[in-house]
Amino acid sequence: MKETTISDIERINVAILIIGSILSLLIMKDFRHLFSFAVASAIMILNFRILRKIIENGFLQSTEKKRAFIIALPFKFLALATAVVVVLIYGDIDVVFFLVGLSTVFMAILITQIHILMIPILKRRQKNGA
Amino acid sequence: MKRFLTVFMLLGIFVGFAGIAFAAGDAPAAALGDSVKQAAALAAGLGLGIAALGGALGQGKGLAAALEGIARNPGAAGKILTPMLIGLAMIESLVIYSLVISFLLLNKL
Repeated sequence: MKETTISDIERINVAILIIGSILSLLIMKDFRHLFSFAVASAIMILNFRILRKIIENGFLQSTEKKRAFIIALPFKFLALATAVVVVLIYGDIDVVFFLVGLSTVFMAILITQIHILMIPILKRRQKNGA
Repeated sequence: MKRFLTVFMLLGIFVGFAGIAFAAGDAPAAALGDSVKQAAALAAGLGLGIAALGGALGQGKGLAAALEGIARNPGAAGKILTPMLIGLAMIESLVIYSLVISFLLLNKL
């Protein structure tokens, strides 16, 4: 089976952000909904990217960065929670669009897996050299 | 290109925060009964607590399994990393959903 690459997911993340923002603007004709979706989506995309960088540094790089890995992971989660809470408390947002925006990474993973499944099995075997 | 995208998204978040300055104060929620308020407060606290517990257990289990796999076969670290990362991101996003719902419930009080 073709392996999922993180860069594929990140590319689809950005595509969902752009397409979702345009769709929300077209459907609701209101910038409030657009910002709700775009801010949540951008937060999750950045969260995914930072998570990838932290884990890659922790697992694949030299042992000197292990201490930074232990500190960076909780800080990243705190920053994510803080961003979401600040937007929720003080922001003028639409909750439904905000939740849909938070699902960007989930949707990107789903689309990537469906795309892999859609590739004909013979092609997959050829790619894997079977 | 990636750096440009990151800067672009950060700018987007800041623009979104700028909306905070213009946010009109929401009208107070319709008067709710005391029992409804108590139930909402309980649901917010318990919901977030259960989500955090489940998320922590799931992330711990996933990380432990991944580390075990890497320890057994260090050469496969790159291949193990991708599914682990996807799992961690999905679990984390579920906990964030419950955080959002809890805050919405608290706003009803």
